[in-house]
Amino acid sequence: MTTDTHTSPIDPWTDLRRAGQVTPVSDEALQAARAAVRRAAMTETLRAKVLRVRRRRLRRTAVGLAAAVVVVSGAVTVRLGDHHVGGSPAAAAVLKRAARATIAQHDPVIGPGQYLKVTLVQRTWGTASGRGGKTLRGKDGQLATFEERWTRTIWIPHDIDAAWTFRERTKVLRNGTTDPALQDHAEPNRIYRQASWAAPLSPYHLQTYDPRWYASLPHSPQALLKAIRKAVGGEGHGAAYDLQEIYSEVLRSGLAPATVRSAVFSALAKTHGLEVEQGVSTPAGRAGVAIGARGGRFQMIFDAKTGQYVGERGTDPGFPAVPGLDADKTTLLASVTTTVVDDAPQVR
Amino acid sequence: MSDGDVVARSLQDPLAFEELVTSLGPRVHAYLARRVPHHADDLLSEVWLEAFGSRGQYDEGRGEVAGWLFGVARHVLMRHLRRVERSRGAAPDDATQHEDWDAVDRRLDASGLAPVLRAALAALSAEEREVLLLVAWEQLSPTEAAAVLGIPAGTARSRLHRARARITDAWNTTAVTTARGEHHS
Repeated sequence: MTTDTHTSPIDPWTDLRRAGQVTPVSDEALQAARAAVRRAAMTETLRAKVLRVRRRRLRRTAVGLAAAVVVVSGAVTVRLGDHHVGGSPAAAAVLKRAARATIAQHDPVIGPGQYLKVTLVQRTWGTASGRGGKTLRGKDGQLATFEERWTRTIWIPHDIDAAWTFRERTKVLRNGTTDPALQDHAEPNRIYRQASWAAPLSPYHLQTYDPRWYASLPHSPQALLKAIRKAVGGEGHGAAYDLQEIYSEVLRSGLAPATVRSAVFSALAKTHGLEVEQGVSTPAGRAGVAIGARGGRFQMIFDAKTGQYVGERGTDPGFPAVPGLDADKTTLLASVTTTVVDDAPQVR
Repeated sequence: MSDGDVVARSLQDPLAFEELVTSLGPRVHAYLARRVPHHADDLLSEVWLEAFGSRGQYDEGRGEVAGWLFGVARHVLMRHLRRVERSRGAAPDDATQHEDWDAVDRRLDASGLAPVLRAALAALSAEEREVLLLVAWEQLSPTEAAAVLGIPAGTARSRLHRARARITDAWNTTAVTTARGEHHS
């Protein structure tokens, strides 16, 4: 009897492939993987949205600043007498005063059934741009610029890990052109519920909205700034960037406790390169003092009378010249308020 | 729309990445199941999260999405094995040395030639064996296997050539011996 191995129905490669046969993946395992990716994608989308808001501030700042340039010769001359630009010692004094005023504040206490209502109001400038980023002009010859007010209100329940309620409202305050084709139209208002931004396992988790993260921060001023910077992230560097993109996120969240906000101001008081501008207006129209990094276009605003932090403002020398829109050189104005309420709006 | 297009689209629309889990998830799971059958389900999500986070690094010019994904899966697998080995107090040299061969053995035993194939595979270097299995089991081309392993394509081809030659020699030798034995019995 002979055996022809070369005509054997099984060769090493067939055997090897058979050895690699496994039970197909279960629907459950595949669904779990899909869900994991979906959660990560939603988180990234949310973070991108937060970044878009930041970029929107920047972009619209640029637009608004141009408007300011239009009025440069007149307005600046007039306002020079009201403004005083100081060095770091002056900025440090404002920040130390803010730290004292802040630590004297009581954090809101949310009882069962109550909500912390955090309202962010942001007034910004925008432009309609064509290819190459050039601002378009309407048929009336005016540049397609616009000013809008965006208000986001969050109702945070006593159980901070439960779903939150959000409301976003946008109102176009004015358009630079009468051309209807290039006028900005307000985004539709919306109200919705979303998983908590504070719950660590939530796909929307953001540390600046998590009281537990604030509680874990170090008390040493420099270590505190370092920890915040590490958590909030970002690719930029320098005092101007940190002020606008890092520490402002803590202050505008409405969830940073007074101890942390006060410590941030104390730490910033020791930061070099900050300067003070007197004679600015607060978002509420009161007399204010602004702190910004030298050469930066973003400032924190403090109430001149109480010393408390009240919001942020931005300017940009690149703002397009827009006749008629020169009354306010500020291109970004934002404020955050928090109150405790007994009800949240119903979401259909 | 190609898998590469989906990856590109997911950079603007992150949720689009989920499509790849549906289309390529079974292959990634099979890769894991062949090596760590009891942990494949758990590691599958880890692989996809890692892939999602690093999708910006995918370069279409360097191969198909599937090959890139196996590279991610191998990275996750190695990390898993290091965790396991650390808990045992040793360090792994490579992923294939720690494969769970039980599942493979059961299948090879059915052919009656399992010892031959197993011995031949064991005689290969770890590097040769990994290239061979990526091609035989994951249906990757030598170039794709090279991308997974982070080695030049020529190196992968030469390793594959050596591995195939040794397996073939072992197979033929054993088959001839077996045939002679049967002839004389």
